[in-house]
Amino acid sequence: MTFLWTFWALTLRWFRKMTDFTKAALTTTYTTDKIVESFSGSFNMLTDSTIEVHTLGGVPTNIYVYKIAHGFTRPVFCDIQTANGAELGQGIWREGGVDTSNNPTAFSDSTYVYILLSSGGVPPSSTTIYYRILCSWIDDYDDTNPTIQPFPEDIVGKINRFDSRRNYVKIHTQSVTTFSAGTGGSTQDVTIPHTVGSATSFKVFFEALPGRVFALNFGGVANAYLFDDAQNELDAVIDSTNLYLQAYRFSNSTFRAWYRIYAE
Amino acid sequence: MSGLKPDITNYSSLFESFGSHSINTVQVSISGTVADLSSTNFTGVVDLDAEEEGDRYDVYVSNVSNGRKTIMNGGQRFGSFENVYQFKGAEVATRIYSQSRDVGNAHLLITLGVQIQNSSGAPIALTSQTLEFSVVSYKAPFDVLV
Repeated sequence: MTFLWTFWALTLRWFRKMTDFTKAALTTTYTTDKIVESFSGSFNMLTDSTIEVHTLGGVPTNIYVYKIAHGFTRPVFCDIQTANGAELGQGIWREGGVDTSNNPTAFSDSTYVYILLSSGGVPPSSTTIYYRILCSWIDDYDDTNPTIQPFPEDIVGKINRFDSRRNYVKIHTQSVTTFSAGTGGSTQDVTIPHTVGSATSFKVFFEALPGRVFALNFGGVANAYLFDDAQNELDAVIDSTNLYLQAYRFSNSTFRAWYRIYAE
Repeated sequence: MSGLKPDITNYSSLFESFGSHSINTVQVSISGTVADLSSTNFTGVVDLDAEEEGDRYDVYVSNVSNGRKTIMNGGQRFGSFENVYQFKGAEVATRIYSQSRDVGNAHLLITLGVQIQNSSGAPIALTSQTLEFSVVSYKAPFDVLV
């Protein structure tokens, strides 16, 4: 009888342990993007006292810069969505850099995340801008490997768990490459082989200006992605065997590009 | 709980994000000249299962004939299209609307604007091109603003 009770107690304990999903661990062959912070909020494009207005030579529209202290000691990758008041009412969020009408974009340095807009893309009469920004970690930015503060778990809307029912985007290959200094828009090509076997998804971030990490910004003028005459530009295309990077150099200093090739 | 390195094993420092619940594609074909394509718009509907407010998307555009693909979420504009599609000075633009949903069958509505830039002023003839837009959707942990 004692044996049966012991067996039952152990079985019950095992069952409870196995169904306690807070103890579950996640492991995967591939790493994933490491989201380290998010920001959401709004600001007034014309009246916010922190807004900086930049002009680029020959560009008729102003570039509006709104900055948020990110709390880290080095830059992070930024993905942004924005909406004006009318769009928000319709549930529309614009992915940064998608549209021809100078969609906002975001970049970061060691202190701030910057949101860039141009008056050409968002009419000054629609001045309240709503934003949502995801910041992800740059693994190989430098050798400092600083620690970060985890998210508090009690913030409403921020869920800090992985869900095994979802298919997470996995990083197949990621690394950094350095472009040499150049001016006047001189080009430099870098071809990065990959073994995914298809024209898979990818992302590239780079130093358009020293210490400032941007998403791809190649092409066009008078938009929010290009607000400084010394800003490097970068283009990226993938096929089933290679990722092709083409830099247009303006800064006259070396700069880095970080690429992530995903396994879909 | 402080001082965790941003590593996957310390998942409390990460969001439930970048979980791709679908990758969907829509194709459009274009042909003609600069004059009649300069403001052409196409509308594509991409079905997304369980699409929710707060999701975010990455949109990629591919040239079906050469298998080359680029991401549209960066600021890439005129030149990248030239590289990918091999006709001079063309631009493809996307605008994403996520508010169009059917009950039980969520849609992501993509309006595709194809614009041609011709710096020389001469008409540019285009052979038929098929573009494929692929959409990677993510669960994103943003607070919902209303």
